[in-house]
Amino acid sequence: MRRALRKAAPYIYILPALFFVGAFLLAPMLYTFYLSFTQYDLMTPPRFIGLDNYRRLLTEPNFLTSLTNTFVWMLGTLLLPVGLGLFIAVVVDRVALAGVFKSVFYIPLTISAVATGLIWTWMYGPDLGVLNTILRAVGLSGWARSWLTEVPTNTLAMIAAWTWKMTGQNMIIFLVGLQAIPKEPVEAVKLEGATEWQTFRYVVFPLLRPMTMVVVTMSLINSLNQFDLIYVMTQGGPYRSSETLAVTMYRESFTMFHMGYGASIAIVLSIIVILLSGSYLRANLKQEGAQ
Amino acid sequence: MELNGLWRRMLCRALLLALVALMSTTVLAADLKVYHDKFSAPSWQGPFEQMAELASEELGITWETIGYPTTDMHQTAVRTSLPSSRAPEMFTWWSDFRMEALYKTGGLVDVTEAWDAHADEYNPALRAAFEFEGRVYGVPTNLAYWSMWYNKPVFEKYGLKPPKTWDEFIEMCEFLKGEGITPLAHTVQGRWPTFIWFQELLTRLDPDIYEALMIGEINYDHPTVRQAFDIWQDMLEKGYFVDPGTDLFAEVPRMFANGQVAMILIGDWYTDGLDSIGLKAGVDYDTFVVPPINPEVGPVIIYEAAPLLFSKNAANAQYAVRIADWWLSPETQARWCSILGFIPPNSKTDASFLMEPKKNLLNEINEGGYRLVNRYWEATPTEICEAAVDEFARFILNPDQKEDVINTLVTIADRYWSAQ
Repeated sequence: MRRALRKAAPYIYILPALFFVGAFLLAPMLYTFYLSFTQYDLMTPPRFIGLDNYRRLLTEPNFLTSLTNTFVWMLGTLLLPVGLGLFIAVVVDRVALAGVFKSVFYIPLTISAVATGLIWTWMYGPDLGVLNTILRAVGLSGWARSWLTEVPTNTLAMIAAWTWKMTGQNMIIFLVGLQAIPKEPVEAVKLEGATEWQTFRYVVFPLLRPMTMVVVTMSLINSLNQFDLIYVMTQGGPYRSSETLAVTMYRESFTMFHMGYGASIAIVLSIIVILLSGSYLRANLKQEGAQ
Repeated sequence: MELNGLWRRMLCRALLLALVALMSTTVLAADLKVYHDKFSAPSWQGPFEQMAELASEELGITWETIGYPTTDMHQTAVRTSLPSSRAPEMFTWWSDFRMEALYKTGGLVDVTEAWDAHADEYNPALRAAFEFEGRVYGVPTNLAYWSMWYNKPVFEKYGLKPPKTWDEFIEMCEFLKGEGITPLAHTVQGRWPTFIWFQELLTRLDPDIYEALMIGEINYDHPTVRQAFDIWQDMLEKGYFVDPGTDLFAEVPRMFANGQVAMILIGDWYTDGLDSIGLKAGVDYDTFVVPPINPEVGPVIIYEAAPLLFSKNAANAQYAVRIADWWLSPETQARWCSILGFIPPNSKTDASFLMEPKKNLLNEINEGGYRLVNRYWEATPTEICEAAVDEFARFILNPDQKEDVINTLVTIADRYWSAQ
């Protein structure tokens, strides 16, 4: 009896966690999957319509725009907040007053995405916005524009706002990685006559791989799920030109109450997130294992 | 002696009944709920709570007020609860086609009886906004009129007067533009405001055509609808409007206050935003109704009617008609509208509390024989409206894409109406 209880103990310990994961993660996921095959408006019972929602995805031009914007966001956030975060981390690591710079770049992260969106919407204002006011003041009136209504400037402008917010987080993670790198290999290659760039390219960057994996995976997932900043700044407009898959999913589900169609977008988005982040992690872990 | 006993028994029964009534009122007080979507500015939380106190005094009924910060959250809460007994007894909503899906579930209480008791107090157009198959399912929380709000000091500086004809209006726009003042505000930010100029131009050309378009009797390629697009395109290309990326609520009031933009076409609730930045009604701003383009049309004004609806499945649904009757009365309307500064929809309500511009607007509508036409957002099916506001945005930003926009609108409307 006691032996049986001892054997069962680990399973009993994980029961609460299993319950919460099941109730709040797995069950909603399964329900979303089921809803994606139905027509449902929250008021009348879901009606099974087979693959109609998925067929509609293939024929809806707005879905293609959302998909394209989602990938633009993915590329943009990999290039800017990640690239810039790495660059700033490398620079800050070797300058005096590093603490001040760290704080300056980290502060935007403490502001919520909604507040960030509001601040940048005002800054991008065509008439009274700070950006256009500065451009006009320095004689660059030709560069002043309606940042959030011109396509594709609006998506790029929002990626810039996101970069302002997220660069600090990536910088801090990279800094932790840089400070953990042993000094010996770096000094060794310098003694061998390697330039700064060669040292970074062939020694520092490969040694940063664990941190790069974390940053890139987080950025990938965040960019693919991008919603709040866009919803505050443009609501996916004008004429749905800046929608990402997450915004389209929300619009279909909670503005139009096409819950079934919204669920099908959620499923497609989840598959993309799992495939991209999963294959990135697997490739890196395999390489890590080989080394 | 026997008589005394009878009286005593009757007195006991009466006391018992009174006690039961008192107890039921107490239970009721805790049970009724009202959901609303105006939790953030302008907030209806306080006004609904004040009305709950008034209802408690006058009806012995009161409610708990639950506000949602966004319309999406509010709609989701109402839709999920409506089919069940967890539904709130009352909730704010939108009229006409925005109400239709709820009506079709059979989850709304028919309050026709209450409306019939106040038949001579309301414009039939307002009742029609909450009516399906001859029965009425809501009472008004707000009746807003859509007129042109203008910067009074700018008008006075240049000796301008509210225009009486469309030609005078266009001349005025041209003059203001020449003086370096942008005549009109508009925006594509926030999506929905893009329909404002479409509905205004079409109703000024022919309100019958507008109403026929709203219910699918004609399509967006009708010659009069095309004419509305032509006039709109002309106004856009002549530069009468501010940059369409300008935020209607954050930027336009400030531009209006400092005289950068002279006029804003919008519902009368917009004055809250103007007052909040220190402008004074009647001194800094005033209003006029946009004159008809086609002089034969006569006086027309767009209205926006927001209803309070009653859930049939709610625990205390039996009080709906009683509350509706009370809500529709001139006295209750006076209380509600004076708290929020709304124009009272009940013609017998004393409107002396209103600010001067709204008072004058109401008098003009009542005395001028105005035809009331429902706002585009509610007057046409939601499926069409939600897609159309995006197409209007495309047109505002690219007036040269007019034909493509019209063709897309025709397809959207065709697809919807052919499925009905």
